[in-house]
Amino acid sequence: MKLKSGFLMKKIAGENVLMFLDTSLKNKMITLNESGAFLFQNISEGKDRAALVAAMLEEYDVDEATAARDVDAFVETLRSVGALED
Amino acid sequence: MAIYKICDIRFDIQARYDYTHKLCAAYAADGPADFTIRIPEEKLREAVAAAPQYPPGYHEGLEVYREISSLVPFRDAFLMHSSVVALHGEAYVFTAKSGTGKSTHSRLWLAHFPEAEIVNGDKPLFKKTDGAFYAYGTPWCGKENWGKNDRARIKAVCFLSQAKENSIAPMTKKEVISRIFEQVYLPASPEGAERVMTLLDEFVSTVNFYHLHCNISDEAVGIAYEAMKG
Repeated sequence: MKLKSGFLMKKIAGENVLMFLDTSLKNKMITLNESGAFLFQNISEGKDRAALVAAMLEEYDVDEATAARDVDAFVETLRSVGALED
Repeated sequence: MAIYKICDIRFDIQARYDYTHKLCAAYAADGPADFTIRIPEEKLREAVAAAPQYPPGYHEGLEVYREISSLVPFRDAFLMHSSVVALHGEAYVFTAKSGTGKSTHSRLWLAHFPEAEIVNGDKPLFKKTDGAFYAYGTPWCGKENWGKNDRARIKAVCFLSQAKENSIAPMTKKEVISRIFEQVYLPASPEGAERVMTLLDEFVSTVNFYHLHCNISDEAVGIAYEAMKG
């Protein structure tokens, strides 16, 4: 999974704002909750699904099934807004 | 050389057509330029081809303002599509998607407060100065051509929606963030966009935002003023 180039992640008034600079995208921005921001950071470092689930398990007090579900849901969100290359 | 001071920033605007120089006449200044603006021939040709019903000078003017809006973030300023009413030395900002009634509501303020003035009716620049945000007039000020070369400290910002009954409520920062990017010009360059987002962090954190549901009446002005003046 590879992020499209041209995005900015910034905290604005306490909210994690993910801004896409590619103006052809439908959504200009989305806001992320804390775990979303955490996952986004890890995806931008090039981690794959298994590594993302592992990172979630390390960071949050959740079981593996929950972590995997959260990762899949977040990746789906990124895909739906057109933030992923594949 | 034609120097214009807009938002307390000096631009050397090298426009080919007289249109931009006439538009900016009230902003003429001297002194060294912070930025030089010259629209490339090719870019202008493309703009004209996309909307040939407008004269080239008009297109050049729009491209110049796009360029200005991309540069001012490097001087702590950004463009927010809005109408700015100055009253008693303070700026009351109204924003909404085009066609909602920013101009109509601003006109009601002028009728209600004879001493009120429009700083800019469409495309003001907001600049951070000494920790506060000021709204600046610019030569580009919408089809009503409402504007003046002036500035006022921003008192509050109000999003407008049309409604049968008038009501106003403060907005949470989260609500503001979900709506403000539709109104703010984000430069195409990542560095410029980053600067705007940094400014917006401070802007959203420090300024009071309201959401006014309103009809076209003097009562709408009254409830907006009572809330926004704090």
